[in-house]
Amino acid sequence: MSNGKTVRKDVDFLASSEAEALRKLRDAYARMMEMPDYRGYNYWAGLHGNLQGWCWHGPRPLGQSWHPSLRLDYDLWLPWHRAYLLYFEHYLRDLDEDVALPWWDWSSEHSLQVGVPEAFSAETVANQPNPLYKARMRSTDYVVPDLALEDQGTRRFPGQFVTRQLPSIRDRLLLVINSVIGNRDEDRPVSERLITAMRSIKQFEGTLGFSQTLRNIHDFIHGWTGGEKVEDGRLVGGDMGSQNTSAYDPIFWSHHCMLDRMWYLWQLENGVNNIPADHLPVVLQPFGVTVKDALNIEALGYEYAVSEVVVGGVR
Amino acid sequence: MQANAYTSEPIGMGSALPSEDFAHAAIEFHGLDHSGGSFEGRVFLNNPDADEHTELTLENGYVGSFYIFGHGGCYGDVGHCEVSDTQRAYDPRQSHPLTPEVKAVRATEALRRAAAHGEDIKVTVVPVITSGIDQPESEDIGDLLKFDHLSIVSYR
Repeated sequence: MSNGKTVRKDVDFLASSEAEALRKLRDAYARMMEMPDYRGYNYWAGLHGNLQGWCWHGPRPLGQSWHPSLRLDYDLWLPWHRAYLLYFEHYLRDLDEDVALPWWDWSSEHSLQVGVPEAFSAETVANQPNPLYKARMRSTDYVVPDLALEDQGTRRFPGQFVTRQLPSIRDRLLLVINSVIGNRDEDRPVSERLITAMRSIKQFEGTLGFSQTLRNIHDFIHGWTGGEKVEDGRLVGGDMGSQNTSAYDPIFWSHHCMLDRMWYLWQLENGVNNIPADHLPVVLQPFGVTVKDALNIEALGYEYAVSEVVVGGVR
Repeated sequence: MQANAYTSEPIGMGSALPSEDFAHAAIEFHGLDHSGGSFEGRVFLNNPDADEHTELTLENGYVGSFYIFGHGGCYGDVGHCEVSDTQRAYDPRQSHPLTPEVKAVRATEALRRAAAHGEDIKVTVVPVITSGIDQPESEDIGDLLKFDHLSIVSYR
């Protein structure tokens, strides 16, 4: 932590250099997953899709409403998920003040090669179930029993598809990069070119704006991470590939942490307040945060680390 | 296993893009359904025979892709997934989670070339499932791609 602020880091950095921080993160996730009340993992995962359905992935078609803050064309998915992560992270930190959400950089050379990093893909760690690998989705008694989520573990089939025809994450990111900035700087890493491409989009809103361009990538990564396979004659989708269940998969939070970081990096280049003014007073339900409140991560009390080297002192 | 593709009627480029003088152009898809599985919508120009095995090259008319992060089906009771066309006065709730959405694909070069040739174009969308479908393999998933209309938009 620095200046009382939470410092979010790359999960690969934690895995390679801060094993104790990663252990504490796993421990906090495991404890949160055991809690059955409003502080628990299932409650917070259930806010997104099933059961509570609060997530905002608009914009939706322009519509008339009796109240201006309910216009359907507001583009709120980035601020909404920023508030969502903030609340989730605070409940996580109630269990261990030292932990912070790490981001999964799916554009890094490591992820482009291995897909889901080991921190999330290892089924066990030290002979214990890895809480970053899967969570238990609990059914509840307030939806129709036959249609409710089964009481089962989350599933993930990253990069597996029934048709076997989907391109890799690398190919898909290159497609976005080339459509925005062409083939310039081809010798630079994909992650750097992606940031350059996204920062070159100056407008936040609109179908070709920053927000919706990033959301298209977001949608692809969700589908890629969930994947699909055939089991006993049945198509089975991974939970990250469905809005209803994605937040139950522990990698969800680090996927969105990466997206939030990309918005932050875009804001550094294009302005923290670069968002339509009429979005500002909109309350991001069910959180007590408006869009205006969610713009500045410094005011929200967290930072994204660039790098950190800790050297022991002397007394 | 493959979901049904869509091909538009021929679109006269004179009406779609009256001038070649634009900085960016896009094909927008309005009223997209996202209640089912997640999928990639591969967009082709003048290639109505394109399918999920078609190579994604300019020569094949490939323009780009949009992605749908689907809800993965209904988990609720009767009426859970019905989106109302109207909103009651003084109802402060946000819009229904399944309110149809809008997606766009950058198509500047492909449309500029088509505009230069003055040819009619047909837009084909090939949906390719990525995830979120849970059903017997033998069941039809033909109607995964559903939307109200597309529009071709240019920007200076």
